[in-house]
Amino acid sequence: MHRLIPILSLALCIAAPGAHAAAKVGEPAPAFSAVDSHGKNVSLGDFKGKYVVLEWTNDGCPFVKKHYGAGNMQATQKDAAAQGAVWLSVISSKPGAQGHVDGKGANKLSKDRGATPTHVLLDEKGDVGRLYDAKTTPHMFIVDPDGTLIYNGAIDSVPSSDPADIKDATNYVKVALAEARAGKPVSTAVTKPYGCSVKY
Amino acid sequence: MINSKRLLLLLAAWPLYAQAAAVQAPHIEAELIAENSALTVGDNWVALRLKPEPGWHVYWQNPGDSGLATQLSWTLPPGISAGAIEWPYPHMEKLGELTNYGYSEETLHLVPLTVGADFAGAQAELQAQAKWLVCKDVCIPGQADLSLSLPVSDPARSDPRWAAAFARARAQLPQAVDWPARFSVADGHFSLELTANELAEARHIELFPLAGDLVAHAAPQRLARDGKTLRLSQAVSPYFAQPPEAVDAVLVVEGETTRAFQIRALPGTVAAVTEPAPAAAGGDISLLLVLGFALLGGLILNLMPCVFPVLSLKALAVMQGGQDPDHDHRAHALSYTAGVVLSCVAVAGALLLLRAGGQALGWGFQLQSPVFVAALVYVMFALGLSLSGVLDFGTGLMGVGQSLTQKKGLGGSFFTGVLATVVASPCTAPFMGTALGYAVTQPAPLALLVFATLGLGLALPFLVLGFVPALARLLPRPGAWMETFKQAMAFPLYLTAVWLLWVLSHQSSADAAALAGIGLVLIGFALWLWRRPGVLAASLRYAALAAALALLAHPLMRATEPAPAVASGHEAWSSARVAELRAEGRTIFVNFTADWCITCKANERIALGSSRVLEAMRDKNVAWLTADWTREDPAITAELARFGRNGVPLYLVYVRGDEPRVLPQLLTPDLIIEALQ
Repeated sequence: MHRLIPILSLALCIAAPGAHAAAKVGEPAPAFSAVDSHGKNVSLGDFKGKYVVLEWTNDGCPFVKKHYGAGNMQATQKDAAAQGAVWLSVISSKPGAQGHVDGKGANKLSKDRGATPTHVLLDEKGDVGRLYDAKTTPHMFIVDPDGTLIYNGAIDSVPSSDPADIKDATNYVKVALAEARAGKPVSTAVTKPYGCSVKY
Repeated sequence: MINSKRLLLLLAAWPLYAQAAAVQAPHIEAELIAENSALTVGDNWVALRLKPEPGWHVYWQNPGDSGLATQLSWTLPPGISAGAIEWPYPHMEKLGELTNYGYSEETLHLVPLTVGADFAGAQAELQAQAKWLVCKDVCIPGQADLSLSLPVSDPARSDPRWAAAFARARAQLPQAVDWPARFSVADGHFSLELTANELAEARHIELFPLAGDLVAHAAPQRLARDGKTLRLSQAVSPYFAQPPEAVDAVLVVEGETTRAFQIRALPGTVAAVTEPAPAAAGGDISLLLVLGFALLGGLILNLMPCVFPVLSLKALAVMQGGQDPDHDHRAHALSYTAGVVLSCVAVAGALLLLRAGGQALGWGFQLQSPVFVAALVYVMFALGLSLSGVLDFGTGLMGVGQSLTQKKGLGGSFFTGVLATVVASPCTAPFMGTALGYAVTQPAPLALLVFATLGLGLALPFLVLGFVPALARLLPRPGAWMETFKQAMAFPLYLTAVWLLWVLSHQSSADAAALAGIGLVLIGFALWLWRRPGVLAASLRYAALAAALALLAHPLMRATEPAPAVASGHEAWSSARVAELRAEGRTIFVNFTADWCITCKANERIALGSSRVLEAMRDKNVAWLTADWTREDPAITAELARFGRNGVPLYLVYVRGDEPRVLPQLLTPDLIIEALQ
């Protein structure tokens, strides 16, 4: 009988499903809530029924400067707004690190740059960033109205810090939003983001 | 040959050979250099020399998680052409949670330059625009327009300023090899297998794939080497789309010298390497310390409630034997130790095998199986009955029984050891969590060694008792009281059986518990029949035993889907919920527990359930999350592993959403209240 026990227990151990991954295209986007630059609590769940674009940003990062300096990010925000999408800029720089700002600083940045995000989320602990495994600034995500993640990756197809490259690049966020809105599957749903490391 | 304009240029460009200037850009120095002081018709080497300031780095052709590869675009006179950058092998630059591939030292980006026979002129003006990204914690893109003026003559003399640097850089170029290499991508892991003599003596091996979206750069590379054959596995990149037709990569092999090889792997079948390489998982905790923890943990296990009933049996055996001059104490102590150690190793072996098969399991995993729990109920009950005197000890069903009466019952001592290990699994003792958490991340032989040491710790008291007769004499004198004591000891065993039935009912269902109850009646019936003579009694008792065992295979004996078995006021744990609460800045208490974990239950009763703790939790608006590991749950197993643990209990406190703090495995109310401050 003693000998039987290990055999029985070995024979009947049930296969385990795979461990869950943080943010995966095609799966529900991880829920989060964070405080925005006006001190308001914002949750992903607040925007059910709308497309949500998440943009990781850091105003000191040359790659972010490339896209804001050339007006590309602002144009992408306007394009998203025109499609009825919510735009959340997330700042995950820890205090003291490049790009870390308080609410006032974040609002001033938006004003100075002519940026029009729906909210700027202050994520100085990096929780939302880690939840999405945001690696670079910029790093873009799109959540569809059902809460499913439909895009994860770079802002566009030419990894460089040179604004001159923007005109020849495919803007993945614009393309993905347009495709999804037209009821088509997103043709390029996962790309490797490029930019500065997120300053966790 | 030299016209006046050229002459002027040359004069201006004193000294007469290669002319270039290093460009000082923010945090980096850039320069175009040549190996020889003159170019010759045919093949030449030039290089972009980049020298970042200490602490800064530039990037390889695959920059890793962030960053950008350095670029070079040439403007060359007709008749001269430049090849692509030949990259020296890179280094891993770890930056927080990201890993980049690049160079933090002065590096020559070598470029082959071909001067055609049709090149007209005696001096070549080489121009190139270099673009790079230089980073420390922040990144600065840079560029420079570089130029180099070289005479074209024959023969070339090497330029003494750069000859050594070029030689060094060439030694760092990966050597193209055609080693047999295969790769596969399965279950979120990229795995590579390759065979080469050069691998046999390697001390350290690193792989740098050329494609940026193949592997998760920051994930550990797990290696398994068998002579000349290397297997390597690494988690795939979150941006991985589909397996390429071939994987090109640079393999850096450190042995007597460090050499790099450019390999190409074709699709095939490769078994994943599941154990992290020792170097990757070693952390800052030494093996000796871990073995010490394991021994101490095993020793303390003797004091935990799980093992008590079985130990009391062993104590009885020792006392009994103490009176018998023929009794070989040492042999019994050694058999018992062998039983404990071997079954520890067997449990660990099963654990490692199942983990290698991809299952997320930990210490006490066997108790996550309802069949095992039910079988344990049977064993406890049968032992209890034998102590109560239902069964004649001498008939030898129970090994433990044998050891109580038979002089030569070494097998009995052995099985007492096995039983002690089996019933010890619901308990974890202080020091044990650390040791076992470390063990399962180690290669199999090391892991088994840690488990064996744990067993040795558990067996140690009786081992000492066996070898130091003076200690045995301190035990009470045997006498008639022993029979009473023996019978009394049946009751803790019955209680254990009842507790296990309760676990079973939680894990599976009330129906399963009832089935196990029927099994108990069948076992009682069989044991009662044991001493009855006759074929009928014999066949009946075997039939009853068989029926009891058959019940274990009943479909009801399976773990049900996790029901929301979380106490009121508590929430079920998930990593997403923790992140959410941390984002809100709430203080969080996480209780990793299991119904079969006695240490957990004791903590919950004594410390967590105390009114002072509950009040403190309410005062501080603490979010109380429960991670119930009664059944298998890979997410919980993974989280335990993240804290270097392999079993429950584990207690975490995130004060106001801050970094988690790990509390001891034995809690007191004061300790918790203090931790919440």
